[in-house]
Amino acid sequence: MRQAKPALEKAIAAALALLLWQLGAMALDQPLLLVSPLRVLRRLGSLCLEAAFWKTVAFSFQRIAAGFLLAFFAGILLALLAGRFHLLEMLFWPYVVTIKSVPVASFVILCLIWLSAGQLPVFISFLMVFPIIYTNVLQGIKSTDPKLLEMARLYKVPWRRRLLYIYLPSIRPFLISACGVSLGMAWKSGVAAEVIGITEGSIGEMLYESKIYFNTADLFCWTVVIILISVAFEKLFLLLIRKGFAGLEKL
Amino acid sequence: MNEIRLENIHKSFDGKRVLAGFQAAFPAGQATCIMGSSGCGKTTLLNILLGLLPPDEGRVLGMPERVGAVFQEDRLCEDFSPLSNIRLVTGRRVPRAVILEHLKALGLEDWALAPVRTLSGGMKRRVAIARAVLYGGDVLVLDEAFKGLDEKTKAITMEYVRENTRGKTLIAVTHDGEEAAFWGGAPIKMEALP
Repeated sequence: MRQAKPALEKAIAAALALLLWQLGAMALDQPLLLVSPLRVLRRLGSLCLEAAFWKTVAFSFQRIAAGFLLAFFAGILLALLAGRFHLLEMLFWPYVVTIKSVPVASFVILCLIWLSAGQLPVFISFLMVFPIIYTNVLQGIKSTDPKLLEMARLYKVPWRRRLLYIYLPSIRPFLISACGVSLGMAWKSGVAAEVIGITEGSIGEMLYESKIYFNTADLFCWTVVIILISVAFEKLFLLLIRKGFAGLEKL
Repeated sequence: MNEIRLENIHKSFDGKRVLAGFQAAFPAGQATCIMGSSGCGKTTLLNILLGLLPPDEGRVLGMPERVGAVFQEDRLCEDFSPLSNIRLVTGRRVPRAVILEHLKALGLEDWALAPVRTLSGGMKRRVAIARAVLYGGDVLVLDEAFKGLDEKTKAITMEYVRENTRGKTLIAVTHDGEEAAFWGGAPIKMEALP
């Protein structure tokens, strides 16, 4: 019941926000400026019946998820190496700082020169997610209990077992929090890259076209689609991570 | 197995002398207690003995490669079970059945697979003790290992340690005269430096 109450409160708040949106759209009566949620829902319903819609969703999902997953595994691997060898941490430092500091638009333009528009969302999602995962995992490694490490040193515990039993539990909260932040970022930056690069067959291209043709209903509709996929992917991925860690504890 | 000797050990922290010219010998295959008031440097001495802390001066002789230790803190991986915590240090060298037998001897059979974070302080202590015993070195170092255990559990646990470390060198830091008498031999008395 404790869980049900906040969920109910959130549902009521969301329903109120939708009602306010509907009333605002009705009061304004300018669908070009503010389309009503009911109209967005109708448009979403009709889009769902088109094969091209699912193809577009799959196209963007594959690329953005690939960029995220690449960054996820690369971030963990390089952070583990940096945690083990200080020299590597120092060698990685300029790259991580650069990726963190350079505006995403600069990377998009640069990548348009280097890569094809189809590869752009993969690379941009990767660039946005990688420093978050890397920095958080490294922080998790550094906050490992030194007394546990001393115990492992005394008992000459091999590095693989140290990683599983000591480092991974310490990394867990940092990794989960990093994934929570970066999953949303991957979608925002990935779609933004698709819009700027006008990646053919992507959600970003649909957004771009809705701007060109002043199709506000499509703009809102695709935005809702991005939010839904992003949230679903985030929930599923975090569930898998938590299950993975729970499985580890049963070793 | 050789006698373990500490020769002319000096150690200071931020200019405060903790050990100055400390000498001691721990006979092989016997138990030796170290007694002394709080802050006199007993834990520092054990850390030097275990190779976890370098002395400023002096040397440790005869310490073997494999040494089991129970620290003042339990130093267990809280998310893992007692079985996994022991496996962490023993690997597959000690069969699962043997580990479970040891946990049973310490009254932990029902908790062998539960996450350590769900165990009481006394249970955690016993897991740390079983881990040090099962590691199987020639030397076992105990730093107030039985502190916090009730009288009955303490007696059972001390007997368990004695049974499973026969013929090994045991070095125990304690404040408890009864515990020192249990291990036998002449205790080494330490005093805080002025």
